[in-house]
Amino acid sequence: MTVTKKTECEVIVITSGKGGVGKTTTTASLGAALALKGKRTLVVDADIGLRNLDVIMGLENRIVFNLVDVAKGACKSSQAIIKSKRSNNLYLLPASQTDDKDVVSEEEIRLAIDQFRREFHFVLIDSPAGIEQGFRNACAAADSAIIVATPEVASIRDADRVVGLLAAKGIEPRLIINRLDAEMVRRGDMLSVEDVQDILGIELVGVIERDEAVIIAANTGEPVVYNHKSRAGEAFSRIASRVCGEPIPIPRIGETSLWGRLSRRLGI
Amino acid sequence: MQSGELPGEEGSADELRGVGIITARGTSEGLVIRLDSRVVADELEPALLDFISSRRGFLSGNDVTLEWIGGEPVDGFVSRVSERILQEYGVTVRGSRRREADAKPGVAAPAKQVDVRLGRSSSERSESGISARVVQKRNLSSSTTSKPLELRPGRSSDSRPEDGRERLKQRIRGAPSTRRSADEDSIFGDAIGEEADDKNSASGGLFGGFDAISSDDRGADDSVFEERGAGDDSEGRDELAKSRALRASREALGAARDPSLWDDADTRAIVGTLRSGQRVESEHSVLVLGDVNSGAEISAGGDIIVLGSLRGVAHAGAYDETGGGRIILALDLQPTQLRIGSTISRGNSGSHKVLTPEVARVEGNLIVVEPYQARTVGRRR
Repeated sequence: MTVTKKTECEVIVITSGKGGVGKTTTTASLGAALALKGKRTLVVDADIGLRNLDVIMGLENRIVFNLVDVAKGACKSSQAIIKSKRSNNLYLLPASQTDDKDVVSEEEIRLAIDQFRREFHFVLIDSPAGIEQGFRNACAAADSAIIVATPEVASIRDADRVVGLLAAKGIEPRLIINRLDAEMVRRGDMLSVEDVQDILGIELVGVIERDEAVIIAANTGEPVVYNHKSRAGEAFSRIASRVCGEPIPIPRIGETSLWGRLSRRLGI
Repeated sequence: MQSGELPGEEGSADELRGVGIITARGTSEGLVIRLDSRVVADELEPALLDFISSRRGFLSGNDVTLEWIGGEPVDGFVSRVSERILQEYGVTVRGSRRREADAKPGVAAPAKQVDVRLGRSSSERSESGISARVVQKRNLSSSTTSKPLELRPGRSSDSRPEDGRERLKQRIRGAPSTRRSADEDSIFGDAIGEEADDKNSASGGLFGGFDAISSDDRGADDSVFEERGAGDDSEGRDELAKSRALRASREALGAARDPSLWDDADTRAIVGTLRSGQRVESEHSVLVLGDVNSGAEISAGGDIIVLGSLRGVAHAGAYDETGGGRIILALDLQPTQLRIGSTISRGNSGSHKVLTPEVARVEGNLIVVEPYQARTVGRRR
């Protein structure tokens, strides 16, 4: 067994309620960003039966064992994790594609995840959509939570529900707003960050603008953080810093042009 | 069927003999013995004496007030009976008063039943020698209303906001007070009944218990004094069931003189924001210090007051078809749906940026929303 100098491990569940808002992308990119900062990070795909995190990370053809195997004790925990392509600090624990979410219980998952606390600074758990057993399993081992929501009414309503459910478990979640479109917000066609905060009322840990690079990165299997030209990638890097405790302010979306910033400061 | 023999009734005919249309209540002014003045005095006197006799241990040395329902006592009855009671049991009759039949639904309706059966029983009695008929007079408000009432923990104040929030969590979510041990919310996070927390049986969840009733009967140990009987015919039972239901609904809904219309002592105050999927139900009024997010529901027998944004569904006067004059008030009223009684109104989906507190109430068959004016809101009831 390797002896690692370890401080406390934080297990964070990335969840949303609504599907398709960017949980898996966030898990992959946030994990990659944390690894770039030198933190040993494990990303866990808890979406049993519909695994996607391996595809986003580009590791789908290296899977031998998965989370269900670890939970059922069919393999050692070190056998199941897969080192990422570009970083020695980033590992993946994939989900099973042939089972469904009812094969494991919360207790089994919790014990499985706890085995990794010794080895990593951060464990990010990619939760499935919904609020049923899959969601409960994903939250079983979590110390804290990050809710991903898009600035749309349906997503906010589902996120609100999840906030309530997490609060009942004693977890105070933080918020990432994904796919914000500055132009639409300016036109009034999209909820602004303030509108979302008004309803959800939880701590905001990051805002990610809509960016084509994210889709391209997902298809090529490289987390968008490695794309230095992508604004979304930069946003994820900032979020990683905030997760580590650095007090980086969240930039106002839409104030990109120098004139825009100047005029706002001048009060015009 | 012979009077005095009641199917399923505990106790022998001897026990029932002498038990009349009498109940006792503890009130803020002391013990009150209610008698139905429509019962013939000949029957009532021995019934009353038996009543007191069987409780002499408790009553001896105490004062009672005699209360006559629906009529005046026979002349001289009160003084004669008072004398006897004092001498034989040491119980002092403090006074005698009359009470209107329908002011106390718990007593009135069965009295009507009594008339029907009294006639029969009188004739029967003359044959069998058994005295007054017995009618069930259970305190109906505590056990027969259709909706379960909620249990409230006894603490009335919290030393710290955290305590208040913990207590709030217990009451709303049914979660135990230690945060981590509640691994799923039992009621608050879901519609009622979903995802019940097995480990969380202690608090009984949101709807597990029974509330004290807001009437002058509160505080009395009614069970000590109830007399019980039953109809001896199914028709009588049906009528009794009907009147019981009517009484229950009347009590629960707030009759015209219901004090909870202007002073609801059972208002439930929720401190915190109601999240989507959470639901609060109360037979009385509900006050929320926080927002009610879209997807959350409040169902109140009384009024609903939201000191925040109301974006969810609010149903005031939920147990009265007419709505009972109930209102829904919010600092920022932008609901998904408003319901008062059986009147439903959609929230207008357009941009709603009125920044004043607003009140919704029923007018005719519509729900009208107007700016809140403290002076006028109470007057409309």
